[in-house]
Amino acid sequence: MANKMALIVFSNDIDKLISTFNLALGGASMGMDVTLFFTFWGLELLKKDKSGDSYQKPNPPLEKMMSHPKFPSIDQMVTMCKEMGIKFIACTQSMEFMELTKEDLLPVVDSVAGVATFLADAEDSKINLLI
Amino acid sequence: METKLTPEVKADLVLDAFGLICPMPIAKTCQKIKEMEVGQVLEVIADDNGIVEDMPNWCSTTGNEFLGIVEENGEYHAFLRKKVDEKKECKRPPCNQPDL
Repeated sequence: MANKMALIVFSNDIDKLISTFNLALGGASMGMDVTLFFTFWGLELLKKDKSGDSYQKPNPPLEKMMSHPKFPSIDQMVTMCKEMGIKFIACTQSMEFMELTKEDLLPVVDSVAGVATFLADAEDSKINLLI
Repeated sequence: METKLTPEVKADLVLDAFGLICPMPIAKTCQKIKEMEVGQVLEVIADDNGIVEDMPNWCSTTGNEFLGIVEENGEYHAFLRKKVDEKKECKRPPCNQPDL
């Protein structure tokens, strides 16, 4: 089994996104190859055009922590993920029902693909989670 | 507890991770160590007490040598020595990102 981690980013809930990036960045820091598969509401993060309700707001204790000047923003975490070689895959099926094309997504997306592509990665990953 | 942190140990490089929250101290350590030569010592300063367990674990996973940690008024100073194991190293390129 390869030294890999595969995470399914299912939610647009800030609490869960912070947790996802925490694991992804931690894993990459430990030398793992990390893949994030964005599906359902997780795709909101990858949209170029975001609105006030793109994300579900964090719970108050997290919101307080995030207001700290040294707490990285979601955008900064995405940048860091890309610097560390973390792979972003957007789910084609979810893109279809959310009426999104590849052009609607940020250039941080490495590929758009279906479940077989994710499973090929997940099959030999040590850590697989849906968040 | 046995420590490799003898008075002779001097840091070649210091990483200020004070105020940063998990996993940033580890992510920045991973980034910093790429700039260093094998055998050099890195000192990481942090206030997140997760570093007490995280740094020795990070070192054992990545093949670097954990030397020890000292705490003073909630400020932690962790010392580690870079080792050879290139293939286990993090893929992050050297510092090119402003401090978060």
